[in-house]
Amino acid sequence: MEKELRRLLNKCVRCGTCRSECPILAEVGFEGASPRGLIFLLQGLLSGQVAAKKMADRVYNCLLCDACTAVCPSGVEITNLIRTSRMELGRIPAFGPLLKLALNMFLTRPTLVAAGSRLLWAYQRSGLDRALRNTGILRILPGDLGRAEHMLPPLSIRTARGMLPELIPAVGKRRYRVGYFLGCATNLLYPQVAQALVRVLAANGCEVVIPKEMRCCGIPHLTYGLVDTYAELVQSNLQVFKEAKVDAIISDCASCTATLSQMGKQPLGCNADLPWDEAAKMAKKVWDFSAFLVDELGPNRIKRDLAGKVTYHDPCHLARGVHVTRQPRHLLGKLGLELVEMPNADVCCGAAGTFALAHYDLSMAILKKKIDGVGRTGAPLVATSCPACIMQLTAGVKAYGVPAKVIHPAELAAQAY
Amino acid sequence: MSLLRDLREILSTEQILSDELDRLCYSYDSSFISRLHSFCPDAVVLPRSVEETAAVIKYAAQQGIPIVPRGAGSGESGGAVPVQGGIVMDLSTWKDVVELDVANMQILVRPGLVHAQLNRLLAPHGLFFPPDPGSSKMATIGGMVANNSSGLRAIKYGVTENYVLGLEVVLPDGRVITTGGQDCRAIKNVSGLNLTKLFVGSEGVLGVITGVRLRLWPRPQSRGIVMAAFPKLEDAPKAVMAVFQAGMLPSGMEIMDSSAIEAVNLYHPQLKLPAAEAILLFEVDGNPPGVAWQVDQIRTICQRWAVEVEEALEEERMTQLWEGRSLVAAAVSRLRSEGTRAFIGEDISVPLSRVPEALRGIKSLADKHQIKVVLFGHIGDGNLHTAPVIDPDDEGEVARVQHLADDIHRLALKLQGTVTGEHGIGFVRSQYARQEHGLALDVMVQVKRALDPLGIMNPGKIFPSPAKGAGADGKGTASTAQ
Repeated sequence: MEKELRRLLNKCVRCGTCRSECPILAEVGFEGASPRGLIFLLQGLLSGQVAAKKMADRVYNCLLCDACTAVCPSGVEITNLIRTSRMELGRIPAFGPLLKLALNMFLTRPTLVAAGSRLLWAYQRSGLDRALRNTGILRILPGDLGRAEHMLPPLSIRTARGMLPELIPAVGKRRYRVGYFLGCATNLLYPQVAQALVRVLAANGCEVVIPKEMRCCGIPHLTYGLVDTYAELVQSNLQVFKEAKVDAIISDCASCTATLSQMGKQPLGCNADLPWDEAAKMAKKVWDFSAFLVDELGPNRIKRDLAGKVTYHDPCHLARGVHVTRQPRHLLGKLGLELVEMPNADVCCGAAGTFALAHYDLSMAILKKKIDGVGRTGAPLVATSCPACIMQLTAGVKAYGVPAKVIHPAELAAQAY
Repeated sequence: MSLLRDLREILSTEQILSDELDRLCYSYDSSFISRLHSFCPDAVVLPRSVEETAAVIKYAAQQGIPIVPRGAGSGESGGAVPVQGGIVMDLSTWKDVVELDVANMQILVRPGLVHAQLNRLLAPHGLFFPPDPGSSKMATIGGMVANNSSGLRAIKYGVTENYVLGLEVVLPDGRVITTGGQDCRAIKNVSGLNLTKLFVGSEGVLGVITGVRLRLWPRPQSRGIVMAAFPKLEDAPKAVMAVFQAGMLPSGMEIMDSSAIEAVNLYHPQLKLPAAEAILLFEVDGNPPGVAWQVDQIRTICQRWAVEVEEALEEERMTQLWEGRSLVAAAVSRLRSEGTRAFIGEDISVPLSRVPEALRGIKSLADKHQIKVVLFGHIGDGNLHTAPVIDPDDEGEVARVQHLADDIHRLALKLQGTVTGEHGIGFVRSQYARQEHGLALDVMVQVKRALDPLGIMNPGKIFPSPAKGAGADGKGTASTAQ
């Protein structure tokens, strides 16, 4: 493991190409915040020059947006190395123990997730959220949790899981049997996206299965270096989709899509004995919603044209994780919308999972640039294929006063059926 | 620490880095030497005004503390590495455009502006800054001026110095001067000693550049690329000479050897470069009929020796080919699983007529030292980049690659060339200065002493220490012309 890490870290020639892409460096400016700086410090950690306790916080000063890895001429797997170092260092800063518990015990169990969502719904519905915000008591929450609390969208009492049956028949002749990977965020925060997606798939001749036993894709666990829990989730989901006998697995969440597409790749430092080959085969069946609709189904059965301008934000995990950038744009055009590109459409919006909970100001600064770009397009709609980006961008347009609605392409597609 | 306390009197807290890990991140650039040694600064400052810069320098002069200016740290010769400790001045966050004067085709910028960003903001005005370093995405204008950088288009457009109309410089005693005339915006100007040219390429040993007035050129309306694949490496220089003899001056003439081709294909598989002993990339620019005519002429010339010739005229393909070539320097690390590219002995420049000898010579030296090398470079101006791919954990290879670099530098001098065409002397090539410059080196030392009698500006760079001689190890010791 150490030898392999050294080999991977040695690949960095310190050319600094990554400096041109890192959204965090663009904000803070000093070398230690750059991908090259982090890789250098990880080299120091491995050689003993840098103390582990000083590195624990630093490895979390990263969005894992993959922008650096995508341009690195030397092929340094920067994001993977940072994830691995999080695992090696073990300690999660800010609200570490709480988060670790949440990830290991809570997020792995769909029923607990639903129960937690109901609690949050009650919190918002009762007006307690506004009351607590007004008292300022949220400041006692660890990290920047208190300040980031407002970003949580209004929850619905029912999750997508509660609204949708386990099997949705195809409209007309069945062309495919697809599994819908209903991710945690869509399930809890945006059930309307799930409903829209299922409707569009069914209208295109897909019989849609939403297996009950499906669990989290594991990206939060990978992000925090909890590789064993991640492996457990891979094994479980693999089994679920094997039994579901599906032709394809569709996701509306960029992060789930990218994670599931990599499910055959054993993470560095993970020794779990899993049928990784089998997982790799399953991973080939994973599709982003727009990509499946455009490249596989062919969105030819649209009944109604939409009109007006739309701009599209590329989620990191879709653009760089699975290289899907063309299809969502193609879909928007097919729907009759006029696509107006924002500057730097593929730059991270600053959401990056729970990044804002520990780095609120930085996350908001990155978001502001994004929203400035959205504003310049003059489009009343911002489409993006990731619930975390939707949440962040929605908070952004509100915070910075840009009159635009953030929406998933599946919702727009559903309007056209 | 009193140093930090004093700096806090001058700058805000967020402009001073004192944490050990933050400081360590300023101990390197991309030079191989900075991988082997750790040169940690005592403090890092991020000034964003002339006043702040001058105040820090005045303080450093009072205390006798070294000042090391730094841009993006993408240099390859240790120029921005604090080999004697002191204060690193990170200028990369000071990147304002002070004034774009479209009518007079010039721009005044702060040192941290990145090259690619400059050209992006000039494009809508139909202007550009022609020098095109491979590191365009990250290199700062301040760093380019300090190293007199050039890159892929030097053959037609020259190097950075050809575009610098004037500089604002903070001298080692804290005085601020403007070279090229205090208020001058004229393009032609022979008034006084040319101090601008003295500071361009001075690698931070004479002062800190805080403002750069650049002359801009009209952006050509079109361009085209010819890519030719040669079964024999030595035929490539023949094609280059034939193009010159046919009366053409392409805007770029680049060579890549078989390993460089492989590396680019690994980095950008969609480019599908043909396997060959060498590939030449010719870029021509200008008006559309002229470009088409030149592309046709170059294709015909190359067909005498080449097995495959491609004319690339679509923007996407041209951009990809050019970017593939630009970033091959680092992409060569992909050629060997446990290997990485060592930036050492990487920048010789030889007369055009000696390019074939240089190519052959480098290959045979690599064989002698048993080091895998990749060759590429700006063949149109004889500037050849050698990229050794080594296992940095293998002590034998680390020692051999340093001997190889020394031999390559000596080869360049033997062929009436220079040890550096565009990367600079920095900390790694000063041992050849006496052989290369003779008595002129003494005059350089006199200039340095006149401007920086305390020797605080970027010590250990450019000038060999008396003890250093022309040793082969390339490691050197901290040296300066004080």
